[in-house]
Amino acid sequence: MVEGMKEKIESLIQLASFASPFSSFNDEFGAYLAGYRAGVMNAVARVSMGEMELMELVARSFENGPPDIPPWACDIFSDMIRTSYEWARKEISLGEKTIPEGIELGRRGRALILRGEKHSPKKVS
Amino acid sequence: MIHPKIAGMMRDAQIALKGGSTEDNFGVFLLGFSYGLGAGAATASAISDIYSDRKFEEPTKPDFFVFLDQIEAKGGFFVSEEEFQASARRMVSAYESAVRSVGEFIANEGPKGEAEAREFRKRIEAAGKAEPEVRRG
Repeated sequence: MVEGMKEKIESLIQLASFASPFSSFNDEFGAYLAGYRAGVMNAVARVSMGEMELMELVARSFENGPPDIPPWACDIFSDMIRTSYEWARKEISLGEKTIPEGIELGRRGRALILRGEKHSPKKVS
Repeated sequence: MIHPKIAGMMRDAQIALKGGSTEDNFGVFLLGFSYGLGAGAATASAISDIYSDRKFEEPTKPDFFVFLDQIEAKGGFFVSEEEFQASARRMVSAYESAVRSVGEFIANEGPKGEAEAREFRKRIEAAGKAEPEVRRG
């Protein structure tokens, strides 16, 4: 039964590896890619946690270096990432228009999180 | 029933999205983190079927999307202070790790590698703004 998950994990590792070299904090899309990659790898780690075969697969993928990604998969990954970036931008700009006070709230929250101070939005919608 | 692992990932994705913004690096990182985690959770959502011993051949209702609808209907997740702290730690740790690994990439690849990556990001963005016919060509 882990077989089905192996393929999914492998394809997620490919997706994260695709985003990796294009990540940068010099521009917005680069920072988005860095976050996207981190999110995908976080999912990989959480899904494989406790499943020995999957954990070994993830460990091996790091030992062997970046995986080979077929060109057709690069096109799909590129589309997925770009689409999600556009969605994220739209969602954020809509939020900024409808709840302008949310901008200051978000800014304060991020600063607190980064400083490791206590802060909870309670309900996350 | 959605697996707790998937539910936990979606909770983190919602927290990251709420903190997301285009006005600073950490905000943009959180946006990306949210969507990346969401993509990972969606891809792995079959894990629920695996753990509940349901067979792949069975026509299963897409629990993942049912779960998303439920969250929306409730108006979001309620997170405890502990859950929030744990989630924030994961995000800050991922951010710090990304800052380090991007720095390592630049150190290893030099300005040429950095310029190539910048060029490729522009291509991805430009392709996204082009008309479908142009994209195919």
